[in-house]
Amino acid sequence: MTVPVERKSGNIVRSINKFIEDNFSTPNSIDTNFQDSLFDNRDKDLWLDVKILKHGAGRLSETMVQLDVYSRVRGDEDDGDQMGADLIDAADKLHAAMHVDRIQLYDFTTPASPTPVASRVLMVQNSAGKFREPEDDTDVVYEAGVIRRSLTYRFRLPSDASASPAYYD
Amino acid sequence: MYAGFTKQGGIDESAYVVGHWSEILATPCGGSDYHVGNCPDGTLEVSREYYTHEDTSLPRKVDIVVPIRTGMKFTGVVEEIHRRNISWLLGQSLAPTSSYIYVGAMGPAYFFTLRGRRHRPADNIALEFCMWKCMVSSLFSLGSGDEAQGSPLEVTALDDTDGDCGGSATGPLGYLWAPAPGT
Repeated sequence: MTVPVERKSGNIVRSINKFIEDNFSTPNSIDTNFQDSLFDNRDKDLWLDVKILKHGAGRLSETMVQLDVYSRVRGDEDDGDQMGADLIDAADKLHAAMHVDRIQLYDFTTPASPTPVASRVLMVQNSAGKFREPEDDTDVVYEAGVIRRSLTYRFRLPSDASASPAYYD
Repeated sequence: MYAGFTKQGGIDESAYVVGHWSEILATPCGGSDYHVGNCPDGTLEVSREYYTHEDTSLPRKVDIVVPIRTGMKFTGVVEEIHRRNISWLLGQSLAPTSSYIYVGAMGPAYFFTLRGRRHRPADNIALEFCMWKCMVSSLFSLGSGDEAQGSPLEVTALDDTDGDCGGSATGPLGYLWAPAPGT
């Protein structure tokens, strides 16, 4: 059986990446690492790291994505983020960007020009059933000269919220 | 074997409905809309009853079906407890002028129109219901606990063939609005 475009994990993950890029990274000029092993953060003071924890949307389950905002402390230099204000500000902007009921799902068959799939969206809904809110939001105090805020979001298709049919063709 | 079975499982994926009735409006007949506020666990019920007459064959079979009763009801929880909602929940005015809401005094029945709306996640199209001429028929019950405490809400639609609150002979109780499949 052919997997419908909205159930392909590539389309789902890339749609989430595109949403983050369009609504958080670009408007706020914050570099984002979409799981690129060659991402170089040495000259960056503030950046976002996107990690896919679980592929489940389109499989009658859920996709979990961890969004890590990093901010560099720089010891006691004046331009460092010792108090974490830049980190809190960026995390609030990320939460505002993600504070939506749904994000549009795209078909990335042609990666350079993704096309929206009609009536197919990913719901932003945590496991408590709350729309728009993260599954988890944790402050990681200090690690290797940077501080980190870690937000985890849960995505699923409306059809993933349905009781599963007994059999697929 | 019947050859018409061709599709298993979901047909219209955009039609899955997740979440709550997100907006509830009460409108005094001839008045302006009033937002009830958060109303979780809302349930719309449309009941229909029939009288069925059975023939004299053996075994007996139903030969006449006569609709005898239909009703619309909305139940849920009103979480925002202030004098307007308390007065309303006690079957009184939506616009009380005093913070004292007297219980037990006989007053005229208070009628209003109730509307509810929710959105489908897939396409953001709203589903709606309207009950033209309603009364609150729930008991008032305010419990205690660590979460927001609401009072039960039960609103029952009455016949509004005369159009007192917007109804008509073709829609005496109210209506539901829903898009066509695949919209």
